Amino acid sequence: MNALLKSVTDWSREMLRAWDRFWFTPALPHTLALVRICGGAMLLYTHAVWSLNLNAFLGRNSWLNTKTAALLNQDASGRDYAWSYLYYINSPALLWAFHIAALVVFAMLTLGLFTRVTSVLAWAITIAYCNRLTGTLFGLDQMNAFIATYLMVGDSGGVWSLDQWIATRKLGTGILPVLAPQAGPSLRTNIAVRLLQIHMCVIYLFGGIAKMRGDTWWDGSALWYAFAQLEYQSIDMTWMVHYRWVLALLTHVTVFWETFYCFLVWPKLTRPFCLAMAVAVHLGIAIFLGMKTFGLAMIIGNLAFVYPETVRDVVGWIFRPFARASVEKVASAPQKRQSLAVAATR
Amino acid sequence: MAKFNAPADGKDVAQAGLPTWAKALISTLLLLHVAAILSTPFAFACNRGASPVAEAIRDFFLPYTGAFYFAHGYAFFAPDPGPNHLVDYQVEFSDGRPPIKGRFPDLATERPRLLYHRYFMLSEALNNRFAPPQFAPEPSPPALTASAGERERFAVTKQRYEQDKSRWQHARRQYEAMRNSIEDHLKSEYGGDSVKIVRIEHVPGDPDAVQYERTPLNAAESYREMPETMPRGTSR
Repeated sequence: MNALLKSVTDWSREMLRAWDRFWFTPALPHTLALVRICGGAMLLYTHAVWSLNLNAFLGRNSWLNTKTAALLNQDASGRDYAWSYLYYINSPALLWAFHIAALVVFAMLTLGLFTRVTSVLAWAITIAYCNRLTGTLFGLDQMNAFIATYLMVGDSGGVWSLDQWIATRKLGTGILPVLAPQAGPSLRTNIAVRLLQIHMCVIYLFGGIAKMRGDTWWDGSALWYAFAQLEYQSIDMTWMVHYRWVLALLTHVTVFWETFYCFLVWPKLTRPFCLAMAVAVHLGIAIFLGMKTFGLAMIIGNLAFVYPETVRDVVGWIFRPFARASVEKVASAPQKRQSLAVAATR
Repeated sequence: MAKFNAPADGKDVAQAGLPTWAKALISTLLLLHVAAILSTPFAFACNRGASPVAEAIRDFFLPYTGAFYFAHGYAFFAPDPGPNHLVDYQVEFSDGRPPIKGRFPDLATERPRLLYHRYFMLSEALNNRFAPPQFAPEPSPPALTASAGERERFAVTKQRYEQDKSRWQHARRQYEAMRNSIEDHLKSEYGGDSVKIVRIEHVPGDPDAVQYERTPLNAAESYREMPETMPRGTSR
């Protein structure tokens, strides 16, 4: 009995330690910063596109007026938790003013300016648009919303941000120091990245389960029926009908990968394969099924599984020529000043 | 705390020096959040809330998932990549002008692709919300000679019928509101007096027909009008 008790106690302690490691180990901000830059740009683009038909979608006589949008958000028992400030804007001028302000907030988030404030504003704006625009949304908006939510949690402006640029040049010191994001490892960043990772697993798990209930995902024809949808098609892939075994193989691989993503993405050995598959599937959706934005948003979500050290090294390697030029410029600046000073004394 | 704020290295950083009570509190919130984001897709997977357990969990978290826009099923291209839906409209004028006809989504006029997709989702949403104008007739009461058990069972059936009817009434209200709103928008857009809209279903090409008969994906027979009286789901 004592042995059983001891093993249960040991197991519980190990569980707690694992939980503690998982959630409470501070993480570097590089992964979240990359998600901020890519996700912020996606938020900016998504909302900029509404500008092309702003009044038709959000104006007084919009396709789905505010009363209808509110009703669509209600369930049968009348419950509705989908809030939005856009319900209360009737004037076209005011709508444009709020819309431009929203675009500015998304641009600031992308650039990492006042990130702690703009991430919260970006989240509120994103959710407000989603709730008001019910009936015109798809997976992209779901991705945008949850990325915006978790960007609000972590220190996404810790690196590669105007906040850091300002902080290193001490331009903003003393103005709003509490708003400066943490450049080093932080607990909030780790929690944000962990939540992003878990949410990605939830999406894929239930996406896979839903597909497993369909006949075409089992008879191998699902991918054909995806390619054969004229309304989605951006590149004609119907020639693949001559290679049905390829279509079937890709169909089966897709559904198995999607369902088991939540298990395969965690071990270090299988993670690269799992993420490579994610990139391949979502690039396929982006290129062939006309959903570039959704495909890219899913890839942005998958970035959460790339170690911050890897992100730092890869991005550093890509931008090395620029960084070197910048360093040379900075290094040559004192020499220039010195030579100017010498010239002035002559 | 010094290590917590240590310069970026990340490998030898100690775990956050938070007090145990803070970790317990954060852990509880995290567990609730994870349960919340699982609740809606779980209910969706359980036949859209048919399981009382899934329904209860989803309902519990609904204020949170609803407010944070987390209440989704994530069933992309599932259970099967099905037919797509379009909307044909005709705006009519009482002053004798010829009617204006159109269809959305329309890739030729709706650019960039994301804008086209918004119109595509609008037509899909209208179709998804369709509820027939009449609901199924009430279940017949048991015979006078029915046993107590049969009467009890009828009472439960009747209760379920009323619940379903209430859901149908709500779905019908939503569909009519959507339809009216789209018609009103088109009227105001073109200055028309009346609008007719028709839902169109476009069935994806059958692989044998495409391979052996060279049937194009936009073959006329692959489009069909969706009647307003047909019960939802019988067309597929």
